[in-house]
Order: sequence, then structure tokens, then C-alpha cells
Amino acid sequence: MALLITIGQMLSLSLWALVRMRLGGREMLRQVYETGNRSLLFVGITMAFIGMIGVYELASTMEAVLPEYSTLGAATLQGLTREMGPIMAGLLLATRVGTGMAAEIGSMQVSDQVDAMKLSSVDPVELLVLPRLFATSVASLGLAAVGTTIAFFSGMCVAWLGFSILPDTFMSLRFVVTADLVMGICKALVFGFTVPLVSCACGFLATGGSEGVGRATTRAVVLSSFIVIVEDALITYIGEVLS
Amino acid sequence: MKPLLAGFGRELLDSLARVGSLNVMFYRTLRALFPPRYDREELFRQLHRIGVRSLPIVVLTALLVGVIMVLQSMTYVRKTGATGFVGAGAGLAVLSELGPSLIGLMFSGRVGANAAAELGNMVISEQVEALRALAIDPIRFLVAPRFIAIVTSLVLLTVVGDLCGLVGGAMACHWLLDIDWRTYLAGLMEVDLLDDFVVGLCKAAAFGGVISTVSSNYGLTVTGGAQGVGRAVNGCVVTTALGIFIADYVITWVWFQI
Repeated sequence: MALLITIGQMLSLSLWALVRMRLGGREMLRQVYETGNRSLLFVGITMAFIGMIGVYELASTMEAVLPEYSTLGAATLQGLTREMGPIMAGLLLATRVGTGMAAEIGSMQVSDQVDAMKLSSVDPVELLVLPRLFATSVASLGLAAVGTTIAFFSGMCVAWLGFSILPDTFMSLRFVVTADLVMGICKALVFGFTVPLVSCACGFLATGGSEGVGRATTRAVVLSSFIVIVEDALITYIGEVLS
Repeated sequence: MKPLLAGFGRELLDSLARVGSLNVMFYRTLRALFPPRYDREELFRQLHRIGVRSLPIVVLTALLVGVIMVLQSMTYVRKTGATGFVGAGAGLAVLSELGPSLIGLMFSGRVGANAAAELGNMVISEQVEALRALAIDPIRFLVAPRFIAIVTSLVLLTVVGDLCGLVGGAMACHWLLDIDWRTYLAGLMEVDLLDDFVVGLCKAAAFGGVISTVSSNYGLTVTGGAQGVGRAVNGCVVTTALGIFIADYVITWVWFQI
């Protein structure tokens, strides 16, 4: 319950900041670097593996249902743009960035640094959370785009070497429509906004020493990954209804 | 140029050292499992805490994964007209791939991070040192029961999760897409599901090993107070996610060679 209240407070404050166009200036740019650049290697490597796994799985399904591979590349690209790219990037963001934020803010909270900020009449939410929120939204979009591209190319290598599908045949934009791209971008933006929101709230609610920080971090990763999955299902369904 | 290279080199050496210590941890855990002389009470307590308490989050995740996959395969069906793909595409993807890997990711957050934090706190408050002083091997006493509990519960939870994923897909067909769920079931029954189910369970067991090894290693190597615990949990979940997808790729590749 306390978590919902904290999230609500942060949400209203951040929307108000968005209306006033006060996004945090230099601190926000620094956070874009922190979250985006530092996660790039991790997201890149993991997405490369996801792309290869995805092509194997899709090929085995196609072999079982319609015994030919001609639509493999087009279906891979469509699935990655619309679904797998954003959700996997979102989950990786929750593990890499979400836990980092909860750990950082949690250890500030248990060492009374957050209270010290309040005493000096600095709003901790405005100082710590707002730059992170907007920075992660920007970084999430970039990471999802880069990750999806890497996954597609690694999948192409698997299709070429494992199933002898030439890159010319594999690289097909036949199935991708504008709606898929819009949906992918919406998902990445929404995940980038909610992951730090939930994780920072978990960090602020940390109580009691190093145990508290551990608990807060665990809670942050579980809640933010779960919320990513729930939002993904919701956005996919909304897209289904609209089309 | 020089600081860049130095930073790169330090990162590389750190990650190589981490890979090495993960392997040592895995080997020592396996050594501690034989002969089976671990605390039975601790094992049951861990099984309850790890397995039973994770059930709700696993069930919810699996249901949503089923829904997402049915909605996704539907876009493919509209483009090609292959109706059998609704059941087969979603079902195979859930059983062999997304079920185990997404349940594994959630489980790593719920259980792996928790184990790392718990062991880390024991290290910081010098409880692990106390165990050593009493000539009790911390690996045998703390890590081995967690290893067994994590692998067993992840495999069993994946069985439950697979079922929930298929049910979630049927629910999505019925309520969200207005397709008769019998079409979904017929598509599902057309393909051979047993192989994919088995490979999914192999993956789950491997992920359990990864989660347990990584979390024990990060937990037992914590240094420096509350911040250190936070950093260890962060490193633990990141390494676990990477390990899960690498293991996933290796198993998928081996499966295709057979």
C-alpha cells in the first residue's frame, strides 16, 4: 500500500515536471549516459543470444506447421519489432537499471541521506527521481532499437549457417507495417518510464541496514519485471483492438 | 586513449576473474552434494521458501506469456492464413522457450537476488566467518541446500507454468480474440509437444543451476556494508540474465544437432 502511495506521488510530480518542461537539465543527460551507455554491452550480448534462440525456435515451429522456411526472415523481423525486442529490452532494463537504482537510493535511505535532503528543504524526488525517469525513457528507446537490430542480425547468421537461408531472402520487410513499429516504440517508452518509477519507489521504502537494501533491491527487480510483462500484454491487446 | 584502454582492460580482467570464480563455485557445490550429508531441515525450509512462495508470481507470469504469444501468433496468421499456427506457434514457443526463460528470469529476481542478499548479509555480519571458525563448511551448510531447492523448485514450477501458459493462451483465444478455443487446442494437438516440453524442462534445470551458482557466488563475495549488498544483488541479477540466455542458446543448439 505504501508502495502504491509513493508511486502515485512520484507519478504526479513527474507529470507536473513534464508539463513545466523541467526535465532535470545536465543531470538528466548524465543519467542518459549512465543508464544507456553502461547497459549497452550487457543488452547487446544478451539480445544477440535472444536473436539466435528466436530463429531456431521459429524455424522448428514452421517446420512442424508449414514445412517451408520462406517467411522465416519476415516473421522474425516482425516479431522482434513488435514484441520480442521491446519486452526483452524492458526486462533487461529492469534487471540492469532497476536494481541499480533501488540499490543506490536504498543505501541513501538507510544511511539517512534522504532525510538530510529533506532537512535542507531539497525534494529528494525532484533531485533523484525525475532525472532518472526521463533519462531512462530515452535510454530505453535507444537500447530497444539497438538490441532489436543486433538480435535480427545474429538471427540472420543462424539462418544462414544453420538453415542455409541466404541473407537476401532473410532480410525481408514484407510483414512489418507502421503499426508494428509504433507499437514497439510505445512499449519501449512505457517500459523506460515505469521501470525507474517502481524501482525508485522500492528504494525509498527501504528500512533497516544492509538487509533492508537487499530486500528493496529484490522487490524492485521482481515488481518491475512483472510490471513490464503486464504492460506488454496490455499494450499488445490495445493494439489488437485498435487494428 | 590510455584511460579508455585501461578501463577496458580492467573490465575484461574483472569479468574473466568472475567467470573463473563462478566455475570454482559450481565445482565446489557439486562436490558438496556428494556424499549427501546436508541439513534436512534446512533443505525443507528452503524448498518451502523458494518453491511454494514463488508459485503466485510464476502462475501470473505464465498466464500473461500465454496471452502475449497468442496475440503475437495471431498477427502471423492474419498475414499467411495458416490457422494452425495460433495453437502450434504459441504452444511450442511457450513450452520450449518463453515459458522456461521468462519464468527463469522472474525466479532469478525473486529467489536468486534474495539468496544473494541473504548470504551477503551473513558475510557482512561475519556469520560466515563464525561458521568457518566452528569448522562448518559454508558451501555444504548454506549453498548445497539452496542449490538442490532452487533446481528442484524451478523444474517443478516450470511444469506448472507451462500448463498455465497453455491455459492463458486458450483464455486469450476465447475472450480477447473471439476464436473458438477448440481451434487453438486442435492446432496445439497437431504438433509433437512432448519433445518441446522435455527440452523446456532441461532448460529449467540448467537455469536453476545458473541462478544458484551465480547468487551464491555474488552473495559470498560481498564487501563493504549496505552499499556492497546492493551492488552484489545488482551484479547477481545481471550475470544471471546473461547466463540464462547463454545456457538457453547452448541447449537449443545442442537440441538441433541431435
